[in-house]
Amino acid sequence: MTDNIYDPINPPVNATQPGQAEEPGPSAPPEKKTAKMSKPVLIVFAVACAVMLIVVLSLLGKPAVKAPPPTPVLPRPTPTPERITSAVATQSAFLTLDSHVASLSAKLNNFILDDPQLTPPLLELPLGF
Amino acid sequence: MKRILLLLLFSFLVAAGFASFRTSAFVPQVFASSEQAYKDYLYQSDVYRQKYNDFKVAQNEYFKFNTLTSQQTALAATRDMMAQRDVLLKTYLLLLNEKLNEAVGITDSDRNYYQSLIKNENAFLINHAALIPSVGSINDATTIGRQLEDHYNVLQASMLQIISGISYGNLTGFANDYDKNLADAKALVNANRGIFASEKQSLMDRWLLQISNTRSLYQGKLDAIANKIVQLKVSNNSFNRIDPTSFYEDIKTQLGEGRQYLLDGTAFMGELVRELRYQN
Repeated sequence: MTDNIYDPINPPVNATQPGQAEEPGPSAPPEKKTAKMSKPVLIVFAVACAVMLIVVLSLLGKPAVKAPPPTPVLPRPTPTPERITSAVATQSAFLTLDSHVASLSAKLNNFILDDPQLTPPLLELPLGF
Repeated sequence: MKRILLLLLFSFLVAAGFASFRTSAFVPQVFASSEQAYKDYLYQSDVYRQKYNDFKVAQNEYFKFNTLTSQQTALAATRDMMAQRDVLLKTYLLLLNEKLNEAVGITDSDRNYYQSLIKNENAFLINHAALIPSVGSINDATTIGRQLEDHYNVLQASMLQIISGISYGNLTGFANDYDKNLADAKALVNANRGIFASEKQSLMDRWLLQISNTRSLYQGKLDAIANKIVQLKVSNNSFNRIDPTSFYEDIKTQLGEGRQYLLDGTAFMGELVRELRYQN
C-alpha cells in the first residue's frame, strides 16, 4: 500500500506532539546554550540580590552607632578644714562684742530711711475761683 | 458645813478670777505718743479728703449754675475745707513733734531749733484758722486762701528740715554704736595679740584699718548732709527761696549712701568677730 499523501504522516519519533513547542533543530544550538546559560546567571543574580537584600535589611535594622554614655563622676566631698576655737571666743568681752555687732547689723537692716509716716500731706492749695 | 464653806470659798475664788480677767480685758491699749499722733493724722487726712471732695462738687455746681444758692453752698463748703486743711496741717506738725521727741542722736540744740520751727508754723496756722469764720464771700475766701499759698513754701521747707533732721539724728545714733563696737574690737585684738599667729594678726590689723576707713567715709557723708540741712535752713529764712522738695530728695540720697557705709562697716566687723572666734 502506498502511503497516502493525504494521510497523516506518522510523525517521527522526535517530532513534537501537538501542543508541544517545536524544539529547535540541530541548527539552533545557541538558543539551547543561552537558555542553559541564563539559568546560572539567573541563579547568580538571584543569589546576589538575596545577599544584597539581606545586607541592606541588616544595615537598616542595625541601630546607629552611639557614643558610649559618659562615665558618671561622683562628687568627692572636700574635706572641711577643722578650725580650732580660740581662747578669745570664751571671753565675756568677745561675747558682748559679738552680740552688739549682731544687734547693730539688725537695727541698720530694719531702719527705714524714708519713714512713710513722716511724708507731708498732699494739699491742693489754689481754690480755683 | 465644812463642805458648804469650801464650796463657797471656791466659788468666790472663781468669781474673783473671772472678774479680774474681765476688767483686764477692758483696759484700753496705750500707744506710744507718735503712734497715737499718727492715727489722729490719718483720721484728719480722711476728713480733709471728704471735705475737699464736697468742696469741689459745690464749686462745680456754682460754676455750672451760677445762682446765689449754689454760690452760698460753695462758700460754705470752701470754709469747711479751708478749716479742715488747717486742722490737718496742725495735726501733722504734732506728729512731727512726737517723732522729734522719740528720735535718738539729735543734739539738744537741734531739737530745740526744730521745735521752735513747729511752734512758729503752728502759730501761723492758728492765726490763719481764726480768719476763716469771717469769710463772707468768694473773694474773701480767695484772699485768705492765698495767705496759706504764699506761706506754704516756708511751711514745707520747715517740715522737710525737721524730717531730714530726724533721719540724720537716727544715723548719728547708729554711728555712736558703731564707734563703741569698733573701740571694743580694737581693745580685744590688742589685748590678745600673742594668741594668734603673726599672719592672722596682720590680717586682723588690716581689717581694723578698713573698718576705721569706712567710718571716716561715713563721717564725710554725715558732714555733707549737715551742710545741706543748713542750706535748707538758710534758704528758708532768706528771700531767695529754693525748691525744698528737690533739696530734700538730695538729702535723702546722701542719707542712703551714709547708711550703706555703716552697713558695710558693720558687716566687716562681723567678719572680724568670726575671725577672732577661731585660732586658725
